[in-house]
Amino acid sequence: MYWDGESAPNVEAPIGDFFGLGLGDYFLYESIPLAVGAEKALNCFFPMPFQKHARITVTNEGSQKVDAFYFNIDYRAYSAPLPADTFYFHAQYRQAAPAHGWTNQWRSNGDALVNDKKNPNGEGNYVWMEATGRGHFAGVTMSVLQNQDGWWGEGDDMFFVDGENTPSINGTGSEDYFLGAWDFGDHAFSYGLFGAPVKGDERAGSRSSVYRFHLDSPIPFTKSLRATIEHGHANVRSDNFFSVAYWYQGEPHAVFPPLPSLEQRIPRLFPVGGPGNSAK
Amino acid sequence: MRITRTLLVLCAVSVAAFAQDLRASLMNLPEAKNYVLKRVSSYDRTAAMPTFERLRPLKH
Repeated sequence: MYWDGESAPNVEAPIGDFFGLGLGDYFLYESIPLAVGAEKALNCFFPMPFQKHARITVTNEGSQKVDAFYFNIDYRAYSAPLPADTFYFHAQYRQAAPAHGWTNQWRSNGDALVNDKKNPNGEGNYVWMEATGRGHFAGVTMSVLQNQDGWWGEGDDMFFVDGENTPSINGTGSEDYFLGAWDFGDHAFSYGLFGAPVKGDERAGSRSSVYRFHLDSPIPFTKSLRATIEHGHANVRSDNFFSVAYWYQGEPHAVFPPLPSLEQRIPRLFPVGGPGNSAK
Repeated sequence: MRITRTLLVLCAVSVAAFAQDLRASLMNLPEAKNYVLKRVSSYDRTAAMPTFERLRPLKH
């Protein structure tokens, strides 16, 4: 998506991931800004204002023809221009397949080797998005394909606002950021602002999909924002992370990292070692 | 019973109003925000693992 003549996209993501369907999976869920209905119906309610021009493109990078691609885009046409400081919608896809842990010589999430590790400045964190300019963070959808056994979500969310070296917003665990608790138990759930519509077993090969939207309190930034989460406590785990971050900001925006190739985006297990992984 | 019903109706109205507020927040997302978001949290200040507090009972 390109707003008002931008040459670099304001929104760039695989179409499923943009609607919260990671790992090539299809499942029904309902949130306020995104919802997936039956059958193969992807819905987005994020407002996407522009002054004069919008361009939305879809590319089929697969090897098979798409015979029936339906869409409806409803928009409001105002007689007066929008306020000049109206922010533009942005969404960015990222992945780390795998997100490399700092060691694979651990046995469990409670391992002393793991627990004693400190990560005060987010070094090696999985990055949801980095932006420069003024705006606010609106949320993220994320999917995880585990390469290792155990709970993938001991990592903390960390938001570095306006160039901070240590995060002013620092969380207590991945499931806590996504507003569940205690590994989500065995429960999948889906609410307006948060959910884990797919919750896999805690073993290598399992898949999970989660989302969190900050409609209640978006995270503002005036110069820059780096939104991140650890992959395991202090980034010890080596699972595969895929995400789309959503935010609003004024232009110009920082150019996005190159979109990984189709081949790179296909979810697969990697020989990273550690619990449940056969590699040494 | 009547009081219970009234409370239930009030709760339902509150939940509906909250959902309505969130939908309004969605439409206001493109507007600039004039606050700094802060968080009070039990996260570990040493950046280590224990991200919780222990609560001792009042009586032993």
